Amino acid sequence: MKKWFLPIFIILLAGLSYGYYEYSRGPRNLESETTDLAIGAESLVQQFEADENLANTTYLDKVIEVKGTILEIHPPNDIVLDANNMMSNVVCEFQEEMTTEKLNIGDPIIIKGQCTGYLSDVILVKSVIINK
Amino acid sequence: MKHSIIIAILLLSSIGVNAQKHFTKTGTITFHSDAPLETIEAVNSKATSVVDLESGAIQWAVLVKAFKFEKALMEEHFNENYMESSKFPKATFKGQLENYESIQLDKDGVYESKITGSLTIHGVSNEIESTVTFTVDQGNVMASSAIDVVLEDYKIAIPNVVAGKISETVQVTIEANYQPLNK
Repeated sequence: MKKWFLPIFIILLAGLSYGYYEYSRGPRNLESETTDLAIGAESLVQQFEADENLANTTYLDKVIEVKGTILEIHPPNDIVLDANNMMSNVVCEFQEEMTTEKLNIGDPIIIKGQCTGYLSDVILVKSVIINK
Repeated sequence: MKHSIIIAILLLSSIGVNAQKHFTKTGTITFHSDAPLETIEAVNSKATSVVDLESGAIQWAVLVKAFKFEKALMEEHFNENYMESSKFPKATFKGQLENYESIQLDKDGVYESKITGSLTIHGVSNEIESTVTFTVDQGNVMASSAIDVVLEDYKIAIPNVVAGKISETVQVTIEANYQPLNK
């Protein structure tokens, strides 16, 4: 009987450890995730303005890389990318480890973030800086 | 450059202190659920809101996927199971302040107003009522409010698998630091 005990115990332990790991996983870190799409800030906003439903189908929840120029910086963790648009731009909320230090208005930049949709701007969350 | 034009317009049109709308794009909405097996808390700091103190009209909008959770699994459950945020990416509120006329922008103070309106979550709209506390301080207008949301009212189903992990009624708090808007 004891022969079977150890393998079952190991399986049970593995199951519980996996369960615990899954449960306690912190927020996603996009740096290690593949990019679904890459696009310029201007084009991204244009698409949402033209047809929000279609743009949502394309971009909602996707990990996207957005290329643009920094229009505004709001420390500690927000920047706005210029979409050359009177009304709307791309708002990027950084993930906790990222900082707005060393960034300047006018800098060209590529931001990788999760697209959450469009209110008065297109909003990306969990953003990281890919390139500067 | 956009901003210096806005500032110029603001300076020119300072007649009628209440005669302009106020807005924010960084409103904070927190969601709190206390259940036997789990406490869930989430924060969204990208809510937008416009308030017109001349008419008392007020609106809020928030992207559901922009709520932040401490644990990835909770965020997944929230978006995929409860809110179905890919189908219903926004939650909105459109309503009316009752006591807007007593709010004086040129007089620092705390003003309370009842608020009524239509709250839409998960594609379902309900008429709700609450209180908003406005604080005017050196021309800044801050607002805060809290409501209880009964998940069933918005057809948010709690699968048996996670029953006990999320409360049937959740507490939602709303905070805004409004800026004057000029159009």
